[in-house]
Amino acid sequence: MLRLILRRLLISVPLVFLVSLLTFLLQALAPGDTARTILGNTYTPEGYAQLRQQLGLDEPLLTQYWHWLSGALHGDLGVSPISGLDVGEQITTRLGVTLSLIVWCTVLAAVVGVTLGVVSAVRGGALGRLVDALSLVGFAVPVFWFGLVLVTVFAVTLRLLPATGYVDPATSLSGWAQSMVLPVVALALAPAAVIAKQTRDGMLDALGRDFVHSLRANGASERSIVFRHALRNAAIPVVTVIGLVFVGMLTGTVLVESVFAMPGLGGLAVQSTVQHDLPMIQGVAVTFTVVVVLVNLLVDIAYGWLNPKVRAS
Amino acid sequence: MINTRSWRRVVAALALTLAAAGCGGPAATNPVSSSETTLDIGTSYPPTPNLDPGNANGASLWYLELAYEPLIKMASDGKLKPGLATSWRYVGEGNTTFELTLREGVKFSDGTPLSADVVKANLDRFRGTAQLSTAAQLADVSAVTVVDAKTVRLALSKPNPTIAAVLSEFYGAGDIASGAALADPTKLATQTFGAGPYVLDAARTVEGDHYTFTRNPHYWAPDKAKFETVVVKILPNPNSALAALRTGQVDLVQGAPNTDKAAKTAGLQVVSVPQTFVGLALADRAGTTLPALGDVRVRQALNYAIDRKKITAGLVGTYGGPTPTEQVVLPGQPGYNDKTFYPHDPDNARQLLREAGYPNGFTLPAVSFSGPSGMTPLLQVMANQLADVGVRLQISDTADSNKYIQDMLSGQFPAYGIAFGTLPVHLMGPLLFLPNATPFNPFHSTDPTLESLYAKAAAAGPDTKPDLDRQIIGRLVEQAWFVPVLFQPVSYYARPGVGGVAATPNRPTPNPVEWTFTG
Repeated sequence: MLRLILRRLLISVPLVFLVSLLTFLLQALAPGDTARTILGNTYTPEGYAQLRQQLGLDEPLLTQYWHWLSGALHGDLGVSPISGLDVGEQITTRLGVTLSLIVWCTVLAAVVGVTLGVVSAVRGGALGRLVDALSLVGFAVPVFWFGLVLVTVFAVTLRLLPATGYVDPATSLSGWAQSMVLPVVALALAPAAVIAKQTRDGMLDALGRDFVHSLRANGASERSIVFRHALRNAAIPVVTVIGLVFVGMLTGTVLVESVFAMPGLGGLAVQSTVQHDLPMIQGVAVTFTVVVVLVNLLVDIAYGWLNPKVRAS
Repeated sequence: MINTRSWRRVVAALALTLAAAGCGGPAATNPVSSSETTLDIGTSYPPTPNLDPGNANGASLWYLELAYEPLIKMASDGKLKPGLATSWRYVGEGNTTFELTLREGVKFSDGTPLSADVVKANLDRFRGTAQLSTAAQLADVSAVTVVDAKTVRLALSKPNPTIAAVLSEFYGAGDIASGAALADPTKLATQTFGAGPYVLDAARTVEGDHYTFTRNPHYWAPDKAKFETVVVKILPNPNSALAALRTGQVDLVQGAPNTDKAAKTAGLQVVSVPQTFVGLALADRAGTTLPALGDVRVRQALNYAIDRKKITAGLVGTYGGPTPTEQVVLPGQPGYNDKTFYPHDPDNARQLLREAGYPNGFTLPAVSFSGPSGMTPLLQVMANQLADVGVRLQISDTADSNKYIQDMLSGQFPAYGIAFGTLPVHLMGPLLFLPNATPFNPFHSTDPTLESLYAKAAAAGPDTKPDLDRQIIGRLVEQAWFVPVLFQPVSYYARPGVGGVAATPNRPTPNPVEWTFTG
């Protein structure tokens, strides 16, 4: 298992490098540049040329990339030429918002999804069809629309929760918890539907297998069959889906952060892309890549825990 | 570099995420709470590109107005009023020498005093630092001289009748920073060093989320700083912004055309003024890439083909003062011609096209930006009406503003969708219609009559300038360089009890320094 983890970590180093290089090149190929963002519509051609030179935008692309990389390798992600803000500080300030949003969503989606999936597989009938229907709704409902509905009902009409904003937990724990409820529910709907569908299908498959009949014939309790044997058997694809859901939510947070005015990484990614803020884009891309690598590593570890064959290999 | 404080926040949030699953909390509290001494404002953007007054624009206006006292203030009706300068005047004839008399006893938020030397240092930085947008705004200033301790004189390389407006906070080059701040101008991007009523409190600010301003203890008119604290909160989604206002999280927000009705229904104050003319720019007026546009009759035909009233009623609706237009200025503004140039007349349009040699019309490629200005939907409706006279408007739409600008400047599109916030006529010249206007004259169209009128108006005194401005706008309309269709309004919503929220076409953005709590 340790070798697996080490191998994965080693592979992730060139992956992060490759992602940073591709992000840099793609951004450089996109129309517009940082200088134009800074100057807006009011600029002289001379000023524009001078600013490009000052920012190093007139240098060859690989030279520009090397400047960034050499700083990053020393732990310095640079300063935004547009806002003047330190990239590392911005990312760490916003990472807590985005990660807490995603972790909460994953927990909620996993609990709700697995529960619904198991119950509908075991009970079947109308409940099974209901889970299927809810899964479809979960897939179909746009996250920003669902978020606005939640705001209208729970903030504007019932006045139970704040409409927008994020509270630093260091400032107010209860304020933080309340500010998280609606965004987490809005973002968790679709993943919960995916997990419920996957769990239901996996459970139905497992419950129909020969080993389940053998267990029943040997007098194992239904509870033991469902939770100790069938669920564990169905868990590997569910864990895979949970991992994918976690990674997918990195993009979903963009909309949720916008609707709920939360200062997370998603909003920073969009803003810096629109503004051609290269150091900020690079920082966000690398951060997202590291998060994805770590989540995939956790999923691999979970496989090993769930399936002895994986541990042995 | 990554600091330990930030990391602690990440770890705390994650730890709480994992540990506080049971935390619900009793009643809801607002993340940004309103109180009698705190004004909470919601806006769509953080200060963009940053807080440096040398790069001031619409997205940073409120932040800078709170922290910087301009040389000359612009009131909500567009009239210029004393700021750091108590008076100003052109010296002699011809609008080539401009003099400011400074207020005495003023200190900046860092406690250092205002002086003529500090004003000169700021203006020299604004005009001499090419990477600041103020460099283009002050391009006509050839020298700044300290006449005496409270008098500064600007020498202009060519006549400029709007230099006073440019030195206001609204047009950007009037926000003066302390002399100490100029020693390290990089700090201006993230901190404030003005002589305005408030100062940015970095410790209570989260970049990109909310910006907290507290009273400037050195402000020269303390009674005008009406709030202990002003918090500017970033609310990028218009519906969420409205919800935040309705639930008391903020006192005022920027509106959007699609939420005006909901705001009105909710009993909020809705302040709305027409600001941005939207339509089609017929950029290739020499017919370089599309010969048809080189004929003024064709350009006029396109103007006759458009039913502006019908389009405006359909797209803008009844809220926000829908204003159809064929001119690039609004009724009542300098330069406005009180007449109709192009009544909707498709038959006349077809006749003009026949006379110009295009009885079967032609294909007109245009690039458009599907941003919040409503440009693309407007062009799509225009395409239907132009098709009635045989002109096939071929829209290349992009959601990327950078690509839109790049395509517009590329010279590949003989026309482009335009959304342009109207300005005083003289200020529009270098942006919109002079030969080197950047970026809205990509084909460098020339018209000696227009340029001659512009030069005369630049040097004109107050008696003759209004008529010359009218002639400039009239010439632009007659030559049909554009097909303006409507003025898109800009809206602001305030809760009842917030006073002083005023905006007019001449100053379409209300000034937060003027707002009060009335109840």
